[in-house]
Amino acid sequence: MNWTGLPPVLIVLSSLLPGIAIFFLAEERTRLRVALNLGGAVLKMALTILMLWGVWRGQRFEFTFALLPGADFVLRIDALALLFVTLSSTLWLVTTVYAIGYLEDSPNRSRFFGFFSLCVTATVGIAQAGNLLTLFLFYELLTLSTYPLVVHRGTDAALDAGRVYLAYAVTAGAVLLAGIAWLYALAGPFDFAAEGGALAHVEREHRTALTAIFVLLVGGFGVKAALVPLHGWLPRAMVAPAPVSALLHAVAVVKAGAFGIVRVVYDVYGQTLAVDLGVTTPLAALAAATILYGSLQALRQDDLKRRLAYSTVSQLSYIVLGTALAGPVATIGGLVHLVHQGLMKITLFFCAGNLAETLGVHKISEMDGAGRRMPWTMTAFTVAALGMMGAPPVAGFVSEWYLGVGALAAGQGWALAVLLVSSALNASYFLPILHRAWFVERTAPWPHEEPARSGRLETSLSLLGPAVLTAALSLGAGLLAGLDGSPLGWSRFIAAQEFPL
Amino acid sequence: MDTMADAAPIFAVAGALILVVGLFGVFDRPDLLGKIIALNVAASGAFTFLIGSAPVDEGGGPDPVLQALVLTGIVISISVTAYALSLLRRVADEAGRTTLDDEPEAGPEESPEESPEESPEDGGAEGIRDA
Amino acid sequence: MTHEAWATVMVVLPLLAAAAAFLLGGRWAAWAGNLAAPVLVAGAAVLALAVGRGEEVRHALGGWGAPLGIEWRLDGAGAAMQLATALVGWGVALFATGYEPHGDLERAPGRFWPPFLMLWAGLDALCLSADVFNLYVALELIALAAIVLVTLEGKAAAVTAAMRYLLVAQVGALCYFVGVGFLYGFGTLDLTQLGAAVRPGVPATLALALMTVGLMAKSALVPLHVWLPPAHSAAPSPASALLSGLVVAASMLVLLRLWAAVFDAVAGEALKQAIGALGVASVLWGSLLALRQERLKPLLAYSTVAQVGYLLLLVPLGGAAGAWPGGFLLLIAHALAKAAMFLAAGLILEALGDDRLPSIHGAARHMPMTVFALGIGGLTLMGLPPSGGFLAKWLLLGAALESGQWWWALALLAGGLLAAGYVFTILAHAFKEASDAPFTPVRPWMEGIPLGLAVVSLLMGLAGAPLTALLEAGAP
Repeated sequence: MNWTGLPPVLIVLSSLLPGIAIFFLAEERTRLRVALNLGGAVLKMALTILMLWGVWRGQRFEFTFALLPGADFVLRIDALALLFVTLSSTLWLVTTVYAIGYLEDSPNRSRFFGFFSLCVTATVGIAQAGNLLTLFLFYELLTLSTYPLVVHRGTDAALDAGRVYLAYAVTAGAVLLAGIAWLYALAGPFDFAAEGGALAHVEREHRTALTAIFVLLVGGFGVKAALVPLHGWLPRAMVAPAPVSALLHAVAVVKAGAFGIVRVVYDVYGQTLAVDLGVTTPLAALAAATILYGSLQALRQDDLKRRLAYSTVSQLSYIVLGTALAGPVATIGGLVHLVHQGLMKITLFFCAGNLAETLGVHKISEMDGAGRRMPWTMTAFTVAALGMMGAPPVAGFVSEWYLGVGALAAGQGWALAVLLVSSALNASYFLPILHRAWFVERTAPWPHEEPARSGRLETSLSLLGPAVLTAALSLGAGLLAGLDGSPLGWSRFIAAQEFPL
Repeated sequence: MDTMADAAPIFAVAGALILVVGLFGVFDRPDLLGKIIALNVAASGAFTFLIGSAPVDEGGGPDPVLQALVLTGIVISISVTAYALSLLRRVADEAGRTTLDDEPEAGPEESPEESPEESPEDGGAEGIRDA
Repeated sequence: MTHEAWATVMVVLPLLAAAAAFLLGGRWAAWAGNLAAPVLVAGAAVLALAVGRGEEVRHALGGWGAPLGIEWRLDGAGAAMQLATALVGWGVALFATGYEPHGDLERAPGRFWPPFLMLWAGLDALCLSADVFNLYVALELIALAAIVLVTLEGKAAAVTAAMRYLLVAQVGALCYFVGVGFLYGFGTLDLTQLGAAVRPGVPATLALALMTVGLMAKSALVPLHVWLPPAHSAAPSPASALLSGLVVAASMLVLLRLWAAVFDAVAGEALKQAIGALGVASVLWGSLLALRQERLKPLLAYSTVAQVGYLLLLVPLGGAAGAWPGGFLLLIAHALAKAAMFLAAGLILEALGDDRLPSIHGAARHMPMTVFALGIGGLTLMGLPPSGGFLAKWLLLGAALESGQWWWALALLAGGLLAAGYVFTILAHAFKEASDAPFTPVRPWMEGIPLGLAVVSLLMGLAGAPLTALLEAGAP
């Protein structure tokens, strides 16, 4: 094995090994645990930056290991993989800082951070997977490592949410496995290949089978991507601690589902075959339905985290929509939204966590005057919320612009209409929150003010810092979208490979 | 020697019959001692059947390999019987009965692991357990 | 040492150790077991490496080869099973040393070792046996030792379960024995020679029926499974680990060897499908009953009924590529995982005094390593990556789909979902916070043993290539 096989493995190990070490740490060894956590996260960041530089210069990194005769474990870093790796390593670093602050003095931290690291390991594994089998391996690992995080508090509500999550995720895993095994039986072992090279050798008389397999694969990934009607687990998983919500909604779980769909459409079937089979239009319709349904449900929620959860259901399908429209510009929009949605949504969840942890605020109706009490938090929240509505210059505007233009370019004007309606709905469920926070006078005392959190700042620095940082990143990704190194620039780089002109 | 060869089918048929009777006894007898004896009857039937149905060499003599098998079988059968009888004593001492029936003292806390197999839909092998 | 010498050591050493343990008794008995165990692990590893390299490991006892004498011959499946036996056996030996004064073994100090080592000898002999009568003797040795292990806890439930087990095992053995007689009608007892000599007809069909039914009863396949759950849950936990992990697998190994070498050519397609259907019935029914259990050990015991069912799929899948290594990968991965889970259950019993599921609340906080062992072992039961169970399921899925028998693939997937149901039932209870459960701390090194075994079953997922190469050696 030459050295180019090493970086993909190191990126996986940089969170796996600290995670395993953390499991065995005694509860009170806080300093060592923090050192392991941050050390792993920083190392992963460094490796990622190194890879970005390498891939931009045309270098490919690949690691292959024979699991079984005819079934390889392949880690490969291509441009699309790096988009997701970069997103998850950055947000992991931020979330780790946040989680250390959030869970101060709570029990079972070794277990929590151990699974937290495993979860990120699974995510970068999904990102770098070079074939469906490897992707499936990490996809299941993700389910297994997030379950203990969801039930972390050990309450009845947490266990119920965990049970629902598992019921969805494990069934999805079985459906996915069925699809993958069927595809392997039909096509033999194959790796991901750009432009649909992977299934080129499969006879055209297998069209029905290929369509059925597509449904199985998208169904399997669709559960994590929270496509309606497979989204039921996501709002219920809100009982988990705020860093876990951030993980579920921005860094790992839902992203893994959306990323899986992107891989299936582009690198397994290829958009030519997918359009030829007639599967992209139903997928786009499903995504559109999810976008509208999620927004409508979000409108009805008073619980802040539940509203954000339904907003995730809606926003996630932007990525799927961009993929299903199967044109170069829409592809860029979908891919860049993978990053933009992550940055904005993690900001929103950090802010929701800050409100809950500092003031005991869980409901939107309790948020009157929150802007005065916690200006930094609410500023971050406002930036991210504006981005979600698609207001320039925040990152969300860039994704929606590309998606809209892409819809027109692909001759699917109806998708543009869906996007516009969704923006309006986003505005109608975010603006009232902003209004309450900034413009309504506080009359009642806060539900449960936490004295330990208030000091010189409005709340602990480790809670505030990450929120402000990700809000700044969301703004920066929008303002600097024209640069090659921005998420948009990188997405164009990926799309150029999928759609060679 | 001819008589031996001529009698062989009779041994085989009789052995098969004894085997069937013995197996029926294992399933049918309620008491454990009866089951153990029935098991021995069945084993004897099996041995007789095998000897009776054995191939015969040119001289009309019995097949040495099969003789060895049956002899081993008998030894195993004896040791299993000895162990079964001692186990029967333990059952009598601990459970105060000489059947497999668990009903007398089985409260819900005492042996919940037994309960699923008591459910009527859990069919099969019920012969081993007495009705 | 030569391979023949190692093969002899594998059977003779545990027998000698059993005798020593019996004579020494008390605390000293543990020494006999713990001294023999590492040697046996080394021997199993040496033999498995040799077989994996393609070398012949055979040994004619007393210089008499088949058909007259007894010949030992180690194929890939036997070597893998022997290695799994050695690893589980070593883990159990270490565990029992620490566990003996506690838990459900305390009524029988020292009495665990002789039957345990006898069982080990029987299992090794079974792996080495290449003729149907030798297999019978090994099966009887295993069954007797296993029954003694069930009785060790000593209470009414245990001895009654042992008695029921004895009767089923003996009826099964008798059926098998008569089947051996029928097969001998083809002039040999050697499995390979039988494969060439056997002709379809009444004797072959009768042998097939008797031996299959007898071995299915010993392996506790639905509908002949009723004896297993009470026996495996009444036994002391280290014994349950041996019984569920290895003993059931041993009779399955014999069944699969017989089918592969002899009966596959005799049986019709409909019969094979019917036997596969019985396997599926075991998977589904065992899993459903596991879901209904309220105590940990019976739950694990019913899960054994379910897992063994998968192996019957090898009968209809026959020669399909991947079926044979897939099935045996499942067999050994399950042996390690289930042993780990029963040992973990033993620790939970010791720490919390009870294995009813509501009593294990808070276990994840008090004894995280043990709950980990349950979880990692559970991965193999569910067939989730990266465990050995996943590779096995992947191979079997591929075999089912490529031979056009997609219905078995559905059964594999459904079984995995049901397994997830009962594994996560355990984990959910363990993760639930309990306010003031009484808790006796257990020694950390003992928590390490089930975790170690579980991790081995997990890491098997990374050793798929060498393991399949080993299992293909001497495969039909």
